[in-house]
Amino acid sequence: MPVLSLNDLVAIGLCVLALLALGMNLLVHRKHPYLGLRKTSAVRSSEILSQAAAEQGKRLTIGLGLDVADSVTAMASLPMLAALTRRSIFTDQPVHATSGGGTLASLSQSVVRGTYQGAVAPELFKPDYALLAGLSPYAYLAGLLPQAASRANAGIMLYGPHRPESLLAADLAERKRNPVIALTSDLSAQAVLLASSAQLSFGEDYFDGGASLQVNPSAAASLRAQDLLRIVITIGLIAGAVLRLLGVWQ
Amino acid sequence: MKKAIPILIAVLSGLLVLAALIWQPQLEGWLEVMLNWAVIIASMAALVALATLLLAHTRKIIKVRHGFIYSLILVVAFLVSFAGGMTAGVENPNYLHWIAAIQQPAEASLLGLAALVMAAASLRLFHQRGWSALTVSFGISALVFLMLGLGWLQALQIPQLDIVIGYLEALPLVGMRGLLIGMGLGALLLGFRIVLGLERPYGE
Repeated sequence: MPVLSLNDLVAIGLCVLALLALGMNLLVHRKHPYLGLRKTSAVRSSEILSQAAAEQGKRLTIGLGLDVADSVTAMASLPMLAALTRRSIFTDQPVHATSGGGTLASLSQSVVRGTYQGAVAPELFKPDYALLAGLSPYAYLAGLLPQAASRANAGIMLYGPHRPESLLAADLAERKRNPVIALTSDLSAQAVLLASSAQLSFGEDYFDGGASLQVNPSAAASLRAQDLLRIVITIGLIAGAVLRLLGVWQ
Repeated sequence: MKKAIPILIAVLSGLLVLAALIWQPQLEGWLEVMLNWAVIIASMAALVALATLLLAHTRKIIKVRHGFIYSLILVVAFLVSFAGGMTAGVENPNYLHWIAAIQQPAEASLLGLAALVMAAASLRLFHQRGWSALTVSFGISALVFLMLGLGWLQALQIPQLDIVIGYLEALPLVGMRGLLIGMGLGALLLGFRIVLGLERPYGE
């Protein structure tokens, strides 16, 4: 058994606390998992945009960002993709997704295909609904730009690990008078997209998709656990700063 | 059973990676084997995604759909670079030079365009989002850090001013750390949900 440092012990403690908070919230809120849950403004806007796209006979394009190999946070966008695809299966123009990496493209293809099978309409599925846009960040951007400029769009959603250059896609969509919703895990991209008119969500709101769209009770439990852990960490940080100021902890 | 197997594989892989973080010496060999499998599977996924992309564009060319000319360029460019890589070898310096000579100017021009759009978007910020605490602080911080970045204030070499500049330069790091803690918590809980099979981002 290796000797664990204080940092390791804090990390293990936080993991245990996270697991306990997740389990406790799943149990306590099992009957009404979404009751009293806050909704992220960008996710709320995506619901409205999805309905507007169906009414206009246009489609919603989702840029899923770079690959899962670059950032595991790319996984967070897939439940949202499934939820929005489910709502658009029987509309004139279903949701189109583009990815910036092989693994993410295959996963999104699998998710979209699964959603069509789940809705007992596998014959309506086309592989074009979830495509690879490029294997490198710039190739992805080059693939995303024509999608963002498409006349068939009712709006675009950038949900995933995007780089600051994605502002080009947001700007292009704005020029076509299409609304843009952005949820990205990249801090520089969040700052840059603030300068656009995109409906933007910051920080950990990125992980709220599944809970806000009410597609997975575990996502709601996770959101509540996140809030609880944030309070614990804040108290820990303030206590640490006070102890250090008082000279108790060096 | 068909649904249970992927969940079981995902759960076992996740647990093994977590266990290997604590019992690294004992599980290092297993972890290496598993990571090699992951690399092979990821490469296969990239090939599948690439094949799907090519098929989609080939269909577009055959049906002469709107914008088929771009699909034609994509397919031809792919075939030429694929043939070049297969005949000369992907490590061949001439092949690499040829690819870089196309890729680098294209990327540089996209980056230049992105810089211009970012500058224009920053100027349009107040028009688009109005005057709020967020936009005002964004504008002020942009101006302050532009001044600091120019280095004029540092060139004055006033010790008290250097202390203030030091504090100001630490501010973005503090804010970033706050956001990163939130993101880290989200990623941790998402990871747990995947490991426990509560979330299945690999399909329904």
